[in-house]
Amino acid sequence: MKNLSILGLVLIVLSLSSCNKYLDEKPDIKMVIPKTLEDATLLMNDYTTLNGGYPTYGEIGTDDYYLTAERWNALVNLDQRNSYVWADEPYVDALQWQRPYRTIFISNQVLEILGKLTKDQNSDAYKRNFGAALFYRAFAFQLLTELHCSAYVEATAQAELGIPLRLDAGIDDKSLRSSLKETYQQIIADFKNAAIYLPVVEPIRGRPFKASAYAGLARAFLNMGDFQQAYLYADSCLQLHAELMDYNMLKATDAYPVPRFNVEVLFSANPASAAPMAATTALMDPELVGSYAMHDLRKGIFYRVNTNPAGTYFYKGSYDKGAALFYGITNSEVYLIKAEAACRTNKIDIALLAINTLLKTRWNKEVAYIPVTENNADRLLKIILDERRKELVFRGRRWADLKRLNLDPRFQKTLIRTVGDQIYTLPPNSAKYAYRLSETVIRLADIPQNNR
Amino acid sequence: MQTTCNRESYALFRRKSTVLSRALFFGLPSKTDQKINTLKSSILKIGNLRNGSSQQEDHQPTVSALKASWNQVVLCYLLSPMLHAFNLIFCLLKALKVIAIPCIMVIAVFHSLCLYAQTPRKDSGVNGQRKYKLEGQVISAAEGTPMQGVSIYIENENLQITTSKNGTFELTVRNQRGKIKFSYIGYKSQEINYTSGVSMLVKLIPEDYKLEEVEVVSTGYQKIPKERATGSFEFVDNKLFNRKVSTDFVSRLEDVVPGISSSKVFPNNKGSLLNINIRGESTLNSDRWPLLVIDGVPYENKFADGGFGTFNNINPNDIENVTVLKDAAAASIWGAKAGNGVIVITTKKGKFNEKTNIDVNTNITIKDRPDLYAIPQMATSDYIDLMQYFFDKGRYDAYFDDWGTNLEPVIKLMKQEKDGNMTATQLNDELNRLKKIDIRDDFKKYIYRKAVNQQYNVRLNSGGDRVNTSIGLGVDQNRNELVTSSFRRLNLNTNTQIKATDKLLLNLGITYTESKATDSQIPVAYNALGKGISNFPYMELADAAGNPLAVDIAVFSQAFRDTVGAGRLLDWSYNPLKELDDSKRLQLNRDLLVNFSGTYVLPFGLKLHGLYAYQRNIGPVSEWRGIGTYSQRMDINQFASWDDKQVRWGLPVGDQLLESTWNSYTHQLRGTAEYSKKWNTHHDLSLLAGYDRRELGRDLRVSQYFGYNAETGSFQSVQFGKEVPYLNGLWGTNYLPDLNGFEKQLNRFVSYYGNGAYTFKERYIVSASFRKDASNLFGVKTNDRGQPFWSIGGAWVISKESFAKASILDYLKLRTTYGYSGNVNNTVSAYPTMSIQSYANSVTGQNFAMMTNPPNPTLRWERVATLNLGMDFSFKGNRFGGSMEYYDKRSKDLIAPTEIDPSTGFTSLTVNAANLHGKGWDIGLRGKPLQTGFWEWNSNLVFSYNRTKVTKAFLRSDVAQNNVNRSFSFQRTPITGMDLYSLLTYKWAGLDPEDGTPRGYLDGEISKDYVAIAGAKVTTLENHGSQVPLYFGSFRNSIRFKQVELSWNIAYQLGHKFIRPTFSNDAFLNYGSGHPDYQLRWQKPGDELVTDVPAFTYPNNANGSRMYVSSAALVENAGQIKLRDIQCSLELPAMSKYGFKSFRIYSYIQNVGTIWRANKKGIDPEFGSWYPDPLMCSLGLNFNL
Repeated sequence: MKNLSILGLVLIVLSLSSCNKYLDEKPDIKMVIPKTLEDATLLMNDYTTLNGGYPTYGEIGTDDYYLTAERWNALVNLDQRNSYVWADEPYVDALQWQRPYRTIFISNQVLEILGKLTKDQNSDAYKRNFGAALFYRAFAFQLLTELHCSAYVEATAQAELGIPLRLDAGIDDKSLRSSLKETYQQIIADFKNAAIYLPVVEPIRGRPFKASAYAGLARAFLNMGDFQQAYLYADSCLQLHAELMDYNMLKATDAYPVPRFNVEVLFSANPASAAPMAATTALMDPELVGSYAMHDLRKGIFYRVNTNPAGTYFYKGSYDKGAALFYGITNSEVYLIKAEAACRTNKIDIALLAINTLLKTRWNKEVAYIPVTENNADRLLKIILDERRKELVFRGRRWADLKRLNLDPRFQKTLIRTVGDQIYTLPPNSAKYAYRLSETVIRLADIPQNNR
Repeated sequence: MQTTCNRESYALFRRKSTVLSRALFFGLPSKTDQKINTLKSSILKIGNLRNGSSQQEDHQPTVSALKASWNQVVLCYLLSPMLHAFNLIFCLLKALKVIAIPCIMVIAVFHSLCLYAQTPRKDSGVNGQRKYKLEGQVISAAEGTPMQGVSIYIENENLQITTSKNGTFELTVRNQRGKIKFSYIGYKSQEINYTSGVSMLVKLIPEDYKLEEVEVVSTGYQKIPKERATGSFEFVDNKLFNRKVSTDFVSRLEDVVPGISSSKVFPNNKGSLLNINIRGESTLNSDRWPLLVIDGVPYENKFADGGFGTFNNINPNDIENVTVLKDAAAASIWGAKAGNGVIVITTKKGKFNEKTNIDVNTNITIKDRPDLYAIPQMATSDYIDLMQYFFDKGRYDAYFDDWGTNLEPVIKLMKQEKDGNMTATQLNDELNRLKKIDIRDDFKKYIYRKAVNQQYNVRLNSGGDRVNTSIGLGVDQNRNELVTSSFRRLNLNTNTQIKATDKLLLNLGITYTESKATDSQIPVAYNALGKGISNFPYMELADAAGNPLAVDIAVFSQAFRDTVGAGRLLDWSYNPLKELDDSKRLQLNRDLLVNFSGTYVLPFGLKLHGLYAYQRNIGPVSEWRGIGTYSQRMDINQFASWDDKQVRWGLPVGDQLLESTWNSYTHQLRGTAEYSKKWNTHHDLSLLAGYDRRELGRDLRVSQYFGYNAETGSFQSVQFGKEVPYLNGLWGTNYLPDLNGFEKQLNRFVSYYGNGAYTFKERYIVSASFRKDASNLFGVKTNDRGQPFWSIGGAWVISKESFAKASILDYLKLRTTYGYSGNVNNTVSAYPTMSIQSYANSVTGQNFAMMTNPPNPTLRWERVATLNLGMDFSFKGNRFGGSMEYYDKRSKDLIAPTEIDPSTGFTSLTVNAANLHGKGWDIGLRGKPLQTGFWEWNSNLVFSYNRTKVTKAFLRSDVAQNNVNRSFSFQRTPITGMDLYSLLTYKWAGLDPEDGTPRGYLDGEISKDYVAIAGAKVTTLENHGSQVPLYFGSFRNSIRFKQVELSWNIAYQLGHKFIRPTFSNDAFLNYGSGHPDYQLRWQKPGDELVTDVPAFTYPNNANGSRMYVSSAALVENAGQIKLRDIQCSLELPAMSKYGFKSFRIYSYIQNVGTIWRANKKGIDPEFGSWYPDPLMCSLGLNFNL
């Protein structure tokens, strides 16, 4: 029996020595430290995280819709109520800041993984993921910039506040607000790099491809007022990807007539939910709804008649086929950028061609389409900008457009909100166009608030 | 069992051995033939039970005073407060039938085992002719005086004498060793082993002499006499444990152990979570239930993520006793798992040299139908009147032609009348008929029933001098209150001890359990069937004749349903009663537990102990939804697309089966060395050191079958995840559901530990312990994987001091401990990790991974530091006594989310961020106010005070609306300085006298700016204190007259608050769920003086309603005192005539009634917004053959 006890002791000693290896096993098979190319692909496939949750406060503040006093009063989210009336109140919720930064974090993580896989550099999967990560990062930076920064003026951009440009996958680095100029430089650099790596054709829906990156660049340059570049990239985009949907093929009677991932979609993105803009809450701006021509199919596709109050309209035209709004990039937007940029750089014919190509697909085929023939650059620009608003309703563009167009006295607009007896106004070029950062962000990141 | 053995060894040999289990080793050879005869007769007895055939028993009942005749039995039986006696008799007969066959089988197996084990030993003296002399003296243990006339009996030799005047005796025996039995009236009879040639001194213990009884508590590693413990142990002995009748074991600990609180407010947690806490909660995000330990091995209380917990597999009839470890010193041996306390279960085992005996315990419990009327619901007439009001206001005008909306029946009737298809009288007649309907009537009648729980248990014990074994077989058969729900459990539990050599003891325990919980897959309970809380209150499930009725709750309009797909789709109608059996959720649980251990005793006092335990648990959950169900037909229709020519089904037409199988195992390996030594009579040292290794693995596989045919097992292939038109494209497209899944987890633990206790002069005790735990906590540096835990303790038995001899106290002990235990949480990781999802993205159909963690290298385990001060005392000859404990528990480094810069992409990071501070008292008092020959009265008072506050925490949001409570929402408030469960409400300023709208306070002013009030800081809320009871416990009394015992238990919970449910305009407008408070609503100026229920407004300000339902106006005191149960039992010694060693009939009534309740609204705060547990009556029979 002595043997037995010795055996026992030996066993104990053995088990002690093998302890470290024993504890190296991971507790959950799905808990993975991402490090392979395949991991990068899986991370880039996280559609819900990467393509969703984009900020929407700006769009809540636009003139495309209004709320009755009852509906405004029924809103629960204080931040969203405040943004409707551009109240200069402290904002609490940090989610609309954090969500795009999650996309940025994942992109950085993927870039970090890929950075260590140099031997795979030439594989298609490597390039697709590398390009996608850069694209996602640029897209998220861009939407944050459009909301929280003032309009881009080349002369002052270096002095204006941008956003923190987080470029690696750690969480320890302190956030610093770059200048507006640096911010846009980063966005442009990322999009340009993405365009190099992204494939022309991307079979997985929801992921960007080469034309998406060109469209992103066109958007960025349009915001910066660099119409030359905006024109070039819009054109590059359309050369690769020019299809438009024929609205005659859509059924206006459907609850949500526009299919998801349709041929026009260059990149799909959804905002965080915006209660004021919900399908049965937001009443559309009557001026906007009334501005569609009789045979313009968009009115039937985008809007739903509402009976209470009578004669009002709800929005139903999301490119995501559902109640969720769509803030992604589509070809129709690129046509509009091309038309605007061409018009502003005096390529009238090209501008006319672009705008007519688009509008023709929106026109009832039973009735002959009357093309736009305006030759005066100023008047044509006005037409193009009106069409831009009519086409891109609730698509996350209006706030950025109002912001940049306010720089031009011709297009300045004072926004007015009426809630009961209370009237709120947002004058052109108001500092409020650079939306307040959440106080939570200010406190935790220790970065400066926008000038007030 | 342990207690009895110890007492004997003490009395006989004055051997105050520390190793109590050693008492088990004393044994004498017995004659093989005799054993076999006993066995045979046992078998016969079972077979002939109903014929009343009897065997002459050598074991006489100790009390012969009561010569119960059958008349008396019948009388008592009638007097016993049972309601369902006939049921019992019927069931007992049935039970015997069920039991007889397995019993005989088990016995046959056992028989052969015994034959093997009982091979005669060489020195058994069977053929010996020598004579030996045996002598000794018998004295009273209480007074120490010699006892005359004590009856002495040696069964093997058939010798019987009595002691002489000075208590001495002298005998001549044939065998050198044997068994000798001493009995004397008023004293406990004792059977002990003798060896001739040694003079025996026998101390007999008086029947009521409890002082020398040593309570032995178990830590799972060691058994310690409670006298020598420094820590906080609660011991629940077999009698107390079996006072209650229940299928599960957890509920038997409620109301009897100081410091244990249970929560019942969430009906869904019942059976799913352990639901009891020891001394409050000590963690935020880790597992908050106590650790269960069965025979020294941790038992996972739940393997599957959903459904029934594995702890339901434990059969209370297999349990001998339970020790609850409450403080750091008691629980320290469990280290990182002990932060929530430990419940140590010791199962029943055989004894050496024990005559074969069979113990049968069976009972039946009948539970009343639940009181659905306790769930508040708006009067149907009020509801219909409101619908009429909405209709007149045009609320539904836009929906009459909407194909996607199906208005409820009364609205359709009103529309018919408006369109002239019905006269006003017809409408009114119909509405008046509907107004008389209460949906609960039909639920009570057709969905609920009286629950019946049957429990049968047989245990066979037998022991020779080398081998003993105990086999238990238990069957539980529960018919639950829902007509679709039942539970069945089969337990087979065996434990065999083998004395391989004089120094080596082997123990093999095997438990196999199979349980089956059956429910409908589609919920049918009240507030769950159909549209749940949105069901209209005039819903009829059946007509007057009881024929099931269709219920009109479909999603689409009637016109749409009638025409869609030109009638080629599946039927859209919903008939809840008809489809009760068309869906099934079956959760099986097969659990095998093997526990093999060996103890080897080395001569110099060192004991080596090795243990290996293996548990395998397979828990498949199958969810079947037949084509007979509305929801299955709906799904199939919605995935269909059609044109003029054909219908294309996206999902095959047929049933659907989803199988999720949890497959889990644990391995436990342990080696310990125990050393105990006594010297110079003053010193007593015991040391223990050991090493544990534990591995816990589990995986989950989910597979789905569509077009499934339950009869043939056939199914059809489906392109899971394929995008198809949804409702023919009317709703766009959708993906065919892909529910296949796979998960796999593995946890490993390695621990070293040691503890020691030193006792000086039996009165000064010091103890210390140390344990280091390490696990495969992911990504943490090897050195940080483990966490050390330690404890120290001291105790002083004052009553042993010479100066205390004269005091009125018989016993007084002070003790204190301090130390650390911990909580395990292996779900966190220090590396940046991604988690690969087991399903494809619903939009893109692609597999994907999510980033779950940013890098987080500073993680470590949670720790709980406990200071415990305790006092045990007894006086008046031990008739009164108890213990009082004060504790201070600080939970540190609790893993909780803390805020980080949102620009990192994360709002919070899970780190060791929070601290809790719990304080409390646990007091248990016992007394025996009355004791005469026939009468005995025992009284027990349990009092606990517990308050857990947050000393450091991250608050996810400091906005009022995110921290305020609703009725029974039990929201935690991890706000520094507050109770962990504080009841926070909006301050209430009454109703506006103008229009009856609710008013609150904003910046100290009365305000109706609801949004601003909701968005204000959390500090503006009113804090009403704790939502969980601060004071709780019970008062239990038991009165015995001769063989009849009656006991009752009164339980109380005090010092906490709740928000009562009420009528909310918002909830009614959105979900149609009403409340009788509607009748109390403000209707005209002046009403605000008598009511707080706001005026009904349509349209309504939802924010106002939300403020009201979380306002101080609705706060009530949750305190109450309840008569929890009454137990009555009757011993029938007369049954010994028929061969029964003991025979007991018992009845038990649970949830008897409320004695006092603070709130006068008829709400039982213990059960929240759900109905309270109904009255349950049990009748049972327990006998030993």
